[in-house]
Amino acid sequence: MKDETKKYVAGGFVGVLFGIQYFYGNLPNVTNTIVLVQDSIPVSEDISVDSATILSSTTLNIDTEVVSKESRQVVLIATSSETDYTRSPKSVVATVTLAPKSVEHVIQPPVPTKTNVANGYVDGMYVGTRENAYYGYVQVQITFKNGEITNAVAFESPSKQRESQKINARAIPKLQTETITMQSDSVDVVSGATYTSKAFKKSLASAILDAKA
Amino acid sequence: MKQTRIDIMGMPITIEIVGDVYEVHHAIESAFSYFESVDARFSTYKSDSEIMYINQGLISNLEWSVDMREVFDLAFATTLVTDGYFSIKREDGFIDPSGIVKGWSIQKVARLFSTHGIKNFSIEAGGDIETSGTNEHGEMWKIGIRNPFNTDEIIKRIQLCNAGIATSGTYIRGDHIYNPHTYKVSIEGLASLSVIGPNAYEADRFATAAFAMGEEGIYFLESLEGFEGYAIWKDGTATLTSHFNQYVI
Repeated sequence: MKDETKKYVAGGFVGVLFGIQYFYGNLPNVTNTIVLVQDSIPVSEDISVDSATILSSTTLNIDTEVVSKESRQVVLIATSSETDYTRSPKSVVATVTLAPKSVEHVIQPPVPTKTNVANGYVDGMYVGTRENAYYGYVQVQITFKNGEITNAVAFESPSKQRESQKINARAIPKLQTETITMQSDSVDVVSGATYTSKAFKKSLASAILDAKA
Repeated sequence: MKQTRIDIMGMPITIEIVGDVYEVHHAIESAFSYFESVDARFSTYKSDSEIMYINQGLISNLEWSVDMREVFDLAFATTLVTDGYFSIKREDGFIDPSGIVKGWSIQKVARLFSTHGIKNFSIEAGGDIETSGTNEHGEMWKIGIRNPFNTDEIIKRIQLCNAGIATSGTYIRGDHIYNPHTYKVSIEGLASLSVIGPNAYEADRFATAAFAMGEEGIYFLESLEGFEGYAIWKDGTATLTSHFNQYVI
């Protein structure tokens, strides 16, 4: 029986893995990890979450625990049973946004009314959430056909549109260009980007979630 | 002694100090404690961080910490020198200084080491690196630049000493990247951009800004004294600034 005075609806909610916060080396594919919050959401703005489960994960064997419960968001820590942290995430933080009663855009459990389902995914085009990639935003659009992703497009938007103010550095000779080639890996330390990758994964995860049957 | 922590600031942090005496253990411990304190103050993932309090309007600018003021000042200065391509303020008004805090905190730890007489070390946080002195073999620090199309591989080896390197990029494999404002032209085909600078802080902030400039970025770096850049394009080619090769091994 629904209590109209309560701000949140009790029940199970599906959220998106919010950020692969902690990883190292070659990150296993965990983008379609989905978190289910089996909750009993009670009176007022305080939320209590009974438990959280990772519904699907391609490569990880994960146990989860709820580590903090904030208004509308639940933070989970998942610990991988893998001990070699250079090959797999040691821990993963997920944030699940719970659905308040009257807000429409919060992610809801999939509605099983769509057609042509294969491998648990519904055919169609899905747009992920817009994620901050620090230099701008990243948003992923994917197309599912017969249960497989047939097309993935990442939209990027710089944080500032400066079309009329190009950098004036044109008095420079043509710079050298080369083809990149693999090198031996005998180095002390490696430089590479991480942020955008995270934003991309967040957006992709939400798009895949939308496609779930 | 080399140690990696993966539970701070949402990224792996690796510190290596040449030597294994007690002071080194202590210095590494202090460094990680410092990163933890930075995380507690600047994390947008922690609801009780100072930056989140500021974003919620719970702290007035009179109450900002010294560190917060410093980061805001540096961020503002960077916005000015990059023609607005670097900004910690998002379109929705949310202030997220993550684009500068990483390099800034690495730089702070490097100074901490230096003031304690530690000369030979490297600090790496989320792919941004500060090097000082030499590695355990008494050579310059050997740095690999990761392949943006296959993060298992490195595609460039460089050596640094008393300098920093940072990489900005998208690790998106074979996708079409569009500018959502035009929806027709493939946005600057930039896959990753590495910047060598005087330290990790300088390299980080200019890597972030230059990446946002797209194809212009590498020319921007060419015009900056004391910086070199290596831009990798989505077609698998790379463009170097004029003196980048002097670091390549």
